[in-house]
Amino acid sequence: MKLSTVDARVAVNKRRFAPLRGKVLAAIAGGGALGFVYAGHALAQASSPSGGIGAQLNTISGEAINSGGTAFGMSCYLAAAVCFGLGVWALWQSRQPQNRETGHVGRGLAGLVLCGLFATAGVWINKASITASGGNATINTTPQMVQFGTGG
Amino acid sequence: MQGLINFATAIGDGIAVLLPAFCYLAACGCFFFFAWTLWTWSQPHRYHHHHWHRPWVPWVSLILSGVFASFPQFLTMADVSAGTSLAVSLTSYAPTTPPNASNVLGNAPTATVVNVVTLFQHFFQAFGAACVFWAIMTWRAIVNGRINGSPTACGVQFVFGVLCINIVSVANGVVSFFQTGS
Repeated sequence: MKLSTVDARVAVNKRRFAPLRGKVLAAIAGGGALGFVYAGHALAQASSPSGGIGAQLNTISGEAINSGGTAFGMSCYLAAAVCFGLGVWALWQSRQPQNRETGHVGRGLAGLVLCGLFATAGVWINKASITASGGNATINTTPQMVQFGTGG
Repeated sequence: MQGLINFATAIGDGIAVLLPAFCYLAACGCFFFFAWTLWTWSQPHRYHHHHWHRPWVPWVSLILSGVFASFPQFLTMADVSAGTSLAVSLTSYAPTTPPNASNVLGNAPTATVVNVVTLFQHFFQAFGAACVFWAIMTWRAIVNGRINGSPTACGVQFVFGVLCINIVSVANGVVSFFQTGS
């Protein structure tokens, strides 16, 4: 394409849209002013909106807790099964003549104990909570928010 | 000013909502790490395990799983240690109403400082709780040998977080310290 043709088109378009130039600028300025008016209204509100950041994050955290709790429960279930199976297998192997001195009994006992540990994970987390902070575990699968009392 | 307070309060609400979720996931992760590390140590190749020469590593995670599962009580204990006895608890989500900023100016500059701090108290408290959580997570990573860092810095971050939770008491203390009049 020749440059002269392009120049001619530009000139034609320039003449065509010349009357709109002022109107477009006015429309942009008006929109901006409306935006500021709206922003001023938003900045002046005194109460927290019900659909704000906290509400959205509450939904997100609920999903995270739900999926994380499900994954944790599944992991503990599988780990308990693995520990039980391999523990019993280690005890079985410990009775074979060629495996008498390779720690199979210890592995077997550890597997059975850890099977119970995984199967009762929540109970042990609660015991750890009592040890760490003197009270039962309060964080659960319900999405909640931290609340601060008076005196801070 | 009111808009900034509204925004800060909304951010504080977001942190206060996310923190229990993070604590839940951290408690689950710490417990699984504890039990699975013990299982791997029972295997014949345990001497090659990278935590074998630090026998306290899984037990630290067990205790921290309890800390995260009862994080509000833990923060309350820290507040008692700080001398304010501010109680931290959990509640169902409800949007926090931001305080009114129309009377921010007090009779003296010191009163203004305390007023401003009080207006942003909710954000400071939520941010402080998040600082404490992050300090514990960083300390655990250092203890486990996963990152290189300073446990002392974690302690400083922990204290900073507790001070943020009790920011109004701290502000009043600082203001009274600098008041020289009769």
